[in-house]
Amino acid sequence: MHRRDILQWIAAAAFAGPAMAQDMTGMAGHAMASRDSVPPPPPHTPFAPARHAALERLVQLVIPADDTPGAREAGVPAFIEMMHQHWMNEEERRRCDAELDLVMAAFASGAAIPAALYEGARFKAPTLRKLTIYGYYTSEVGASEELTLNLVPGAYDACAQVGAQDRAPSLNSWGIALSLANPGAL
Amino acid sequence: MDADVIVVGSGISGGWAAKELTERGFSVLLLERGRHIEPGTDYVTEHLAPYEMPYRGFGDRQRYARDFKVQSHLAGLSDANDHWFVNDTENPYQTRPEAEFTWIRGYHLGGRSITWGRASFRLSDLNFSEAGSDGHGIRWPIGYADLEPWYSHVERFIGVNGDRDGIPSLPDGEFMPPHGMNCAEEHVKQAIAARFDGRPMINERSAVLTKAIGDRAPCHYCGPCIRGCSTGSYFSSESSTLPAARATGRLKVMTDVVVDALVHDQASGRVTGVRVIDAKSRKRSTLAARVVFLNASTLGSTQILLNSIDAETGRSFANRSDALGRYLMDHVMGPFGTATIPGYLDREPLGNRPSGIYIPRFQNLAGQDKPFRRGYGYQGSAARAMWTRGSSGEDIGLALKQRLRQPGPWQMFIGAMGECMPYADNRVTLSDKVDAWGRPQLDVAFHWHANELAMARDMASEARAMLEAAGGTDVVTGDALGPGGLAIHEMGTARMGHDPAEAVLNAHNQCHDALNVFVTDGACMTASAAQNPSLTYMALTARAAAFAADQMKQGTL
Ligand SMILES: Cc1cc2nc3c(=O)[nH]c(=O)nc-3n(C[C@H](O)[C@H](O)[C@H](O)COP(=O)(O)OP(=O)(O)OC[C@H]3O[C@@H](n4cnc5c(N)ncnc54)[C@H](O)[C@@H]3O)c2cc1C
Repeated sequence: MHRRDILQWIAAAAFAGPAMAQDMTGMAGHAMASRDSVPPPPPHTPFAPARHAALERLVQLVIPADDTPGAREAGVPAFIEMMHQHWMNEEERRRCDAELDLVMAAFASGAAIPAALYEGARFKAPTLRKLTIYGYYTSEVGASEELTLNLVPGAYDACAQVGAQDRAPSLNSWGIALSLANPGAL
Repeated sequence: MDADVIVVGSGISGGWAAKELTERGFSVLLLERGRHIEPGTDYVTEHLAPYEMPYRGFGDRQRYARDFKVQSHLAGLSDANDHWFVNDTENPYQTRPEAEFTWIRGYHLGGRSITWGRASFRLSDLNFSEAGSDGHGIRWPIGYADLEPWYSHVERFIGVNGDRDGIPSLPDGEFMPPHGMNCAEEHVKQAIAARFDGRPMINERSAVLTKAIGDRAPCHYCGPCIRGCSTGSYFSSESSTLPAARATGRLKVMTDVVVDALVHDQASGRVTGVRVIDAKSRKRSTLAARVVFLNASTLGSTQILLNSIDAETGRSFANRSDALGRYLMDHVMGPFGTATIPGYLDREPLGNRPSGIYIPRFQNLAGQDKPFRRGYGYQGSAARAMWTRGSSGEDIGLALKQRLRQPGPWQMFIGAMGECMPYADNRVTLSDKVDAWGRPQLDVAFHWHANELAMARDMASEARAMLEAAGGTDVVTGDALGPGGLAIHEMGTARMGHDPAEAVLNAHNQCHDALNVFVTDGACMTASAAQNPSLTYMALTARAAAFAADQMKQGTL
């Protein structure tokens, strides 16, 4: 849904009852920020081709495609590379690099995948697994196709019925899933 | 004269001073050190999806480590909202590890009215009468009855939703209907009521509209209010007080103007105006008015007063009491409890409610029943766990993807907030270091004392008892207190009191040492109580402004 689409809001409000819909029509008069008022992600340099290829393969193993696209199609490798260059601290960067080394060795060993990615019950690349999840569910595909994304619900129902087939929302009240801004979050 | 009244600061309290004084017929010059904000168009991250933001809402962490060392203590600081917080490198103050204070603030039109959490509770008779009666602090010069009509006046204008719960220690107000609790919260509420006497869990009272007021539309449940609200659905200076003040034709706003000090005339015992610095050109000048309202936030106003030095005495004109800068308080916050609430898996909230629940203070209400004085309450909420729960676990592949497709179990969080006592050694002074504008930096020293530490332990153990009584599993609690300032409720450094020998302000928020100076932000607070304070700052501001207007009309000011 386009965030500036007032008609969507009014349509949403119509579900909540005519009184609400009328109130919401009044919103059309309020000024809003333009869509491009926030900068894009900083440009980044992709990993060397072999490492990039391994990362692509790994993220798709963590979140594969089924009736919705997987992590590779959702652009997760580029997200991880961007975070690696612009967001992580030294320790995290080293940890990611070491994990990717282990993953590449497992891929090269010819052993069965995904078994070779485990040491007993422990997944060998926990940081990359975490980053894949963060990257996927905050991507357009993950947030709005795999899960549901309603940026302006227009109404509140404290305890609505959910069916077994209903997909979870991708956002909470903070509008982001979590903040990783504090050290130690990865 | 540049105006009848100069108001310093355009945040929660300053917006109220400007509105009340202009509506009473006086011209107001509102001075704001930060940039202009155009409501709506400057809410640049409103309704953005994670993938529309540079770091997807995870924040520019390398920049924070460099320039937002203090502000990044705020859980949830991110690329969705960091433009509302100061750059710490450019806005330094002194503090030290053994008495650390985190000063979380934003310099722009509207101040922290844009970013506040909107929880709005009245103080009660109990709160006003306890202070100074148990060996902690001094007596308030006013009581609940003095403030009651002003609370109503404020609530009707800003719009507060909640229930009339009939709790004497948390007086009811003028409420719109609440958003309402979800089924897990109802479950916890009933379990607590069944197990503990006199411990109601209520809807949080919150300054968010559930019905329109004028052209302010009711909440559309997008969730992250902190990004700004183009429909004006929560109270901010931008949505509420500044438009009202502008409508009188008597408001003039100057942004990018740093107020440095007040100009005090020893002979008349009055202040004649303010010394200001252009934030960009750093040019200095003086502006004159009959009356000055200080609303630059607790520490901002205190800094201005400390820096208003009489040539003769070499000391601040406002500090005969030696109370100026002392008795800094911040709420006891940090202790929490979380639990999984079993059941209700066929239910889920639709829409993002911008508030939660509240468990009002239940300690020491009728006599002392705890090993500490005063008390605390909890804010909280329940929600279905999100996909983020997938980040722990070892599973990958379709099993993981399918597991995260459905909402997770209900999780309940409660976080405590308690009263902090005023101590003379929790103190701000002027340091000999200066900032980029040539102003002496603040030096802030704060530490918790025994009463707060005992309270923190109790907050965690009572949280556990309640969550367990509610059948919660995986109960986790914490009793750690971080540095002062994390509640972002700093207050008390120019306290009110009848006696000029022990207080800076009188019962009308006038400086004892210069009656045409009013301080109506958190600096004025004699005691902190346990409730979120901003509603009280607003009521005190409206009351003081009405008093000032009367005095000006009578010619006594
Ligand atoms: C994330 C967050 C959540 C919060 N939640 C709640 C809540 O739920 N309930 C509650 O009651 N409170 C809450 N608060 C606290 C609330 O925001 C403050 O209590 C309130 O904003 C204080 O109002 P004020 O007018 O004193 O200061 P502010 O709103 O901070 O405004 C002060 C203004 O003065 C300006 N200024 C400062 N110095 C100068 C100077 N020298 N010259 C000129 N201008 C100056 C500043 O730029 C600013 O605009 C929260 C705060 C934050 C940040």
